[in-house]
Amino acid sequence: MLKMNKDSNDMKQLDDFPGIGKKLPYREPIDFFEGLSEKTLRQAKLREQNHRRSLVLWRTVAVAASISAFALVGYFMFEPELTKSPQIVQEKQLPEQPLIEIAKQPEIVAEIKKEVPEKVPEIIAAKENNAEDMGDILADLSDEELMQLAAMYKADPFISESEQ
Amino acid sequence: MNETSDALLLSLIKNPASKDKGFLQLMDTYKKPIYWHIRRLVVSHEDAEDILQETFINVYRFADSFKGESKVFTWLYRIATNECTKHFRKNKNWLKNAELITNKMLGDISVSDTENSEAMLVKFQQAILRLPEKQRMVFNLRYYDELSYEEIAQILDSSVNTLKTNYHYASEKIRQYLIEHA
Repeated sequence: MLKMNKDSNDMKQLDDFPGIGKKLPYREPIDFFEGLSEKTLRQAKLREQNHRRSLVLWRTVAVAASISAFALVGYFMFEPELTKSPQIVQEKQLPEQPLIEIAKQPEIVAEIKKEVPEKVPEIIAAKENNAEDMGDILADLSDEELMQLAAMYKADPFISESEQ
Repeated sequence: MNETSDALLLSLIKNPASKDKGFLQLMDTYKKPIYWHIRRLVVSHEDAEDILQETFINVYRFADSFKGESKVFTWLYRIATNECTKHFRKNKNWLKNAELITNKMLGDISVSDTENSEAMLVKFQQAILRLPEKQRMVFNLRYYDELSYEEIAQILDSSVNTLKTNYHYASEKIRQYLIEHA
């Protein structure tokens, strides 16, 4: 038993159980302490080696994860398709031919006519009634109004390019 | 172990060139007292062996962190005690196993006048096992290792007055148990 220090004032307390003393009812196995230090040293070195290996592994994983994360962020930030507006993307995606076919239906045409500016119904009405009146109507329009009309006509998706 | 020897051992361990040699010397010096400190707490030899090994592996790996603010043996006892505490937290059935061991010991002791002392030793250990963890540690360090309250305070990170109270209550409970189970 290792006796490191004795406080002589408290020695009486250590004899609280005089009939029992310091003996223990169990023993260590025979030769237990033989070679224990060398065996423990081997275990300690192995543990340290494993710890260093796992550190290297985790650092590698952390670096790889960081690079992947940055690459992913960069992809989503700078990918060209994603910077365009949804409307244009949608127009590109929608097939034009079927829309034109649908647009030629009489009820759809009537619906569209309701939404165009005031001058266009006059123009369309004139076209339907008397083509000669068209020239008079156009002559009454200002330069600005003519330019607007031309732009609208050009942008009209329901008029084929050959008609334009 | 005097302070000069401890300082020499520490300097050997902290030097990478002599770390292994210093560690072997340190362990040869302290393995028995540390083993018995652990064994008195956990009772089972297998558990004590595992904890002893874990204690000295930590000593080897973290020797650089010891700044010499306390004595070497205080530092070693502290690591060993912390490992025992971890063992108690991890193994909820450790007390049941310890009681099984002591009951088996009692059963193995045949009834005779000369062996009454052996039975008394076992009952003494059973009484210590029934103490709360802190009281058990204080009692063992004071009664068996005969450490001063100041040294125990460094190991258990507690005040001297608290430790004196712990020891007093522990002694009373053990005495009471021995009277009831005489």
